[in-house]
Amino acid sequence: MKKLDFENLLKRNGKRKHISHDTFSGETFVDNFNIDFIRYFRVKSFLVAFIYSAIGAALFFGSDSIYTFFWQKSLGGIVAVFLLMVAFILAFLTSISFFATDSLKKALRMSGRRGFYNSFTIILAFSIVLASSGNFSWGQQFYVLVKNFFSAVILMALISLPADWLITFVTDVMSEKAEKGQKSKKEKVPEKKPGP
Amino acid sequence: MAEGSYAHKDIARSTISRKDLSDEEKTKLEKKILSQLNRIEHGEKVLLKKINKTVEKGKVDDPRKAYFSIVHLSFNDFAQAVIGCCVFGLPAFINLSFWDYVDLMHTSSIFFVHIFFSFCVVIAQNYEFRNTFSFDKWFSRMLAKRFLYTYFSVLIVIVVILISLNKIELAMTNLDVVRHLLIAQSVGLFGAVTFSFLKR
Repeated sequence: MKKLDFENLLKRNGKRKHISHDTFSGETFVDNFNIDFIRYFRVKSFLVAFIYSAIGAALFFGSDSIYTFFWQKSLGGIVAVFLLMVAFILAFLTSISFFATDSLKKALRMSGRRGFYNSFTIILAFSIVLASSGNFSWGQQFYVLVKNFFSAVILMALISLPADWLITFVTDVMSEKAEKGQKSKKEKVPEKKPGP
Repeated sequence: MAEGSYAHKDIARSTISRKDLSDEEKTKLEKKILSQLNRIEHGEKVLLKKINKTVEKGKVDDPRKAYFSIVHLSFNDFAQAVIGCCVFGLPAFINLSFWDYVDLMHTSSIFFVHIFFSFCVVIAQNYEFRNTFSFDKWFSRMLAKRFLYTYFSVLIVIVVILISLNKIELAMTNLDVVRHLLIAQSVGLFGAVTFSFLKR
């Protein structure tokens, strides 16, 4: 595969500062800052989101005070809070990716994809914890499942999403810095002149 | 073909160089041979076009080419899935005898029908993007993503339809809800994929 000239790419894109190269598809993206934590959903992101979601679900089903707090509220109120939270999360992801790419279409697509994968992870974690905690039975009323689902998802999203984004972003920036450091070290080492 | 045209040229030269032929006959022969050569050239061009077409068709089988079309679920694709699901699913869902039949079915058979339909949808999507039934390891990752997108797109529509038809209610048991969801999802998935096939 053709080697990419990152310095030339940056020069051509003016003020833009960050280049991200998707090794899988071969696409290269030039952004204002690092938004790899929104653009890609990698194994690292999945694991962090899944673990923290599972912790959130375990907290919901394990703690009596949290469980009763949610069960004291009406289903309509819980669903309203859930929808508000979804809107806030999508707005947050869209605004960050919009500032990085200067394109609303790209930002919407990225945030939608990231939101979709996060929701998939949360639903998976909820299903596993629900089945293993014994709070589910086939003969149970569907109302119980719906209320448990919306309540748990609110708690899970509040715990897992910030942790996922923060950990992914920090590790991305750190690995980028480490790569730059290694490159500058290599450049500093003078080439050996052929001796007589 | 090229060899044929060289043979024609040799025959033409030898025929034209014959001394017993008059000038008029020679020009007539020349014209005949030239027109034949033109026909052969035209035949060659047509054949080349055909070869190029088949080569270009073969390129679609390259999984990296198909990647760009499969990995981006555009609004158009989403709309196609939704419309296909409604067009093919709604007539069945509105029909009361369909639900009577579903109530008679065993839960495990509903589950197996769902798995079988999902598998068929994966095969159909693979064929839709690669024009072949064989699976590719690299492409299967993209295919799984695409299937997930289609599955969830259809699920959203199915949930709305079932709620509006009172086939999902809060007072029902989990088992009834899951049975209704699985069977409706199978029909909806099939409809979504069939619609994109028809559009092609």
